[in-house]
Amino acid sequence: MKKFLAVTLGILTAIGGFVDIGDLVAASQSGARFGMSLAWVMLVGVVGICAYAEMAGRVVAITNRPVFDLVRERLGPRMGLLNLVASFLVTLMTLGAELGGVALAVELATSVHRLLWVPVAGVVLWVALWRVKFETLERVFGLAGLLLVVFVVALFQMHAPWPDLWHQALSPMPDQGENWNTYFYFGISLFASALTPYEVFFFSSGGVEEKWGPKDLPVMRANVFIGFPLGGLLALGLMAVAAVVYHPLDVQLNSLAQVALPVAATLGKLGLAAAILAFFATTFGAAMETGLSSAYVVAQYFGWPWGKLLGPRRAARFHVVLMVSILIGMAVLFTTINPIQLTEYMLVFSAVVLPLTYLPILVVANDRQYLGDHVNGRFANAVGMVFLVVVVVAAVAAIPLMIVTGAGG
Amino acid sequence: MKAGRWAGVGVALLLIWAGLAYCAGPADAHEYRRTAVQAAQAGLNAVRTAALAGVSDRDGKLIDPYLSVLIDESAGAVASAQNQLAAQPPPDDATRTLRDQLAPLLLDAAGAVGDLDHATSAGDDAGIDAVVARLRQLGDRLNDLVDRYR
Repeated sequence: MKKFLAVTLGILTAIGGFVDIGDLVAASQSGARFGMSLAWVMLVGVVGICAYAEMAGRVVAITNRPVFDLVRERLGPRMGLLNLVASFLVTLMTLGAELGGVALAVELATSVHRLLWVPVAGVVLWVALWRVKFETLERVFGLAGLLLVVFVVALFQMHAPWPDLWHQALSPMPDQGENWNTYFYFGISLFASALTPYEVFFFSSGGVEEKWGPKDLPVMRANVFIGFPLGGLLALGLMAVAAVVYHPLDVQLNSLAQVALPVAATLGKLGLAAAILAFFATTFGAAMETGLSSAYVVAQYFGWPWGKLLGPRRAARFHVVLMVSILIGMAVLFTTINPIQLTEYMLVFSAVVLPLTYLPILVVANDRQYLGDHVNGRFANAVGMVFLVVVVVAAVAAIPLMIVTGAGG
Repeated sequence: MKAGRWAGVGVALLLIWAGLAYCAGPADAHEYRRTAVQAAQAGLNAVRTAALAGVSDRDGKLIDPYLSVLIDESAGAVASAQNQLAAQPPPDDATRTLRDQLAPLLLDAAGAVGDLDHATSAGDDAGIDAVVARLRQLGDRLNDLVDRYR
């Protein structure tokens, strides 16, 4: 019974922790702009993240070493450095976007300008990462993130036109007046939102911190194969709400306030409060993950002692990188860039570096020296290879599409 | 080999500079039209969002801080659209016509969003209904313009 509860809690945490600022923005914007016609991208993204998160989790459970550590060892310091620079920069951008999301969520509840909340969010994040237990943070924000289910409730309450949504989902093409370039640009953003590189770094490094072993494989797989798809359903809920309310009005979304409005209009103040709390929980939880991921990748590359479980005295350089990353994330927001815009750019650059994250995982997951009998089977390799082709195509197309479409404008 | 590499870097920098110089030059009719349609779309987003917010507030479904943020964002979006339109002179007669159609709509939109702020602050339900009707009408006209010029 105790184990069952632990597994259930883990799955619930994975569901709530799946969505971050990237999903909030990309899913809502896609729904408003293209209805449900990009829902297939979310499905592909969820299959991809499940396949690769399982590989990363398996690598950790068998070797008890994080993926990034093995990447450097397996592919050499040069390739590792390229991977490090690209991943670190994108993770920093993501951290800035998540902190901005936290500030936006608090602004919605207080009407005090977001820039005034940025330093508060940064300090609270740093203190939380320093003082609060890893498991507590993960559980609290993961479970609070489940409040996003309010979007699914709103969808039923507003009597969504299900046949229309279904028809849109089965018509993967742009509407009249839109073009394929914009359609694919939003598709790539949506795809990247499901696969942001920090998710793998955090997942694998968190596994090492929690000392996963081979006996933890079934629990890890349950989290990945049940939790992530259900998290993807929450993202589809966001997309569907925007598709029902904004798509027929030809309104494009560019703020979190707009994302929450259909929930408020349908469920009233309680629904609005739940949506704002969900925004806060998902972005703060993701800020925590991206902050740690920034420090993880740097410390693991240079071979420094690392881990949240090691105090600042025992892992001084790790904690310095963590603190500096948070400061950089805050500094990015103090340029006054709109966090939603920052998220849009972050998603494009995430797409560009995706192959650098996912190719090495596939390589390591096939290495018998590390994994012995637990290397990828044929099915995992087939899914991994197909998915890698998609990742490479998205990476190559992301920047040209951003230029051609004027960032989707 | 080294000289060749430096030459490559030089050519790349030159191309980037040329690209930036081209982008920073005066807009042609096509670019102006694109900018104007973006401004109209931004205005459309703002007025239709404000109309939804007005109805929800009248029905007692919003909290004040949230509504305040939503209206500020709508007002800011309309002001940005006006600035975007005013930043470049129209290069020909056709684009001048487009500007002359769009500029008054954005001006009305700015006024209507301001009036919504006033009506919601005063808790004036009849006033909110009147402004929402205006916002919807403006939304339809902006949508029509976007469809015609996109």
